[in-house]
Amino acid sequence: MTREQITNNELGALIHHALVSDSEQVVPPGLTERVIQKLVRRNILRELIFELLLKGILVLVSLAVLTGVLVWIKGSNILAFLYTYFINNWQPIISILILALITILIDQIGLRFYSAFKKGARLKV
Amino acid sequence: MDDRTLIQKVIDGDRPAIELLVEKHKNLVWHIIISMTGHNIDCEDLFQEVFLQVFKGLRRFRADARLSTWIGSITHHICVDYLRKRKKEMDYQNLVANQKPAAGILTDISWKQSENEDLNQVILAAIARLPADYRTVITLYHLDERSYSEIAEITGMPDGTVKSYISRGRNLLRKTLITLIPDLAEMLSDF
Repeated sequence: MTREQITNNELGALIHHALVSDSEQVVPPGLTERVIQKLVRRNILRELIFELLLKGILVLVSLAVLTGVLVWIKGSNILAFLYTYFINNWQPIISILILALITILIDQIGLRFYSAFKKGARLKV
Repeated sequence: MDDRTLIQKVIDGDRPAIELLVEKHKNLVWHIIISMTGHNIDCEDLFQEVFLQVFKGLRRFRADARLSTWIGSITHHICVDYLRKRKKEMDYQNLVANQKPAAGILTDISWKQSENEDLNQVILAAIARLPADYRTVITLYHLDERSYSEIAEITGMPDGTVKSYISRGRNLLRKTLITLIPDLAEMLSDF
C-alpha cells in the first residue's frame, strides 16, 4: 500500500531541515559587530551630549545668579548697561562665543568621543 | 545571566552585556526580517534599526514579558512599517485582508529527483512564495522553535490565528510538495 500523505511531523522536519540549511537565514558576517559598534558609539555620544547640556545649564544658572546679584547690588541700571555694551560690541562678543562653542564641542564631545570609543569605555545608555 | 541582570548591565553601558544581548537575539531578529521582507538590500538596515529601538526602549521594558518576545515584537513592528512604507506587493496587505494566498505557488519551482539537495531548495522556494505572515509564523515555529503564545506575542496576532496560519501554511506547502514530488511520502517512509 502506497502512502500519499506527509504527516505533520515529517513536514515539520522537512521545513526545519530546509530552513536550517538556508544560507539566507544566517546573519551576515560582520553585521553583529557593526551593530554593536554603532550602539556603543551612540551611547557614548548621548552620554557626552547629556553631560555637556548639564554643564551648559550650570553655566547659564551661574550667569543668572551673577546677574541677579549685580542687579541687587547696583540696581536695575546694570541691565541697561549690559544691554548697551552688548549692542555696541556684538561682533567681537559673538565671535568669541562661536569660538568658545567650537572649542568646547571639540574638547568635550569630539576628543572625548574619540578617546572613549577607542577605549571601549563603560558609558550609560 | 537572566534577562533582568542583562538589561541592567546594558543600561549601565556595559559593552560585554551589549554584545551578549545582540548575540543572544540576533538570529530571532534576522529570521523575522528575512521571513517578512524577503532577503533584500534593506535587511541589514532593518537589523540595525531593531537594535537601536531595543536600546532606546530598554528602560521602558516591563519584566512581565520575555525579553526575546519583546525584541521579536519590535522587529515585527519595524518590518510592518517598512512594508507599509515600501508599498511593495509583499502580500502583506493581501494577507491582512485574508485573501487567498499564493495562487501561483507552483510556478517556477522545479524538482530534480536526481539531486537530493534539491529538496531543500524546493521547500525553501515554496516557503518563499507563502504570504509574509505565513512565512513568519512558520519560520518562528519551525526554525526558532517558538511556542504558539510566543509567536502570538511577537506578531500581535491571537493564538488561534497563529495556529491557523501555521496549519494553513503547512497545508499549502504539503500540497505544493505532493504536486511537485508525488512520491515524496513514499520516499520519506523509506528513511
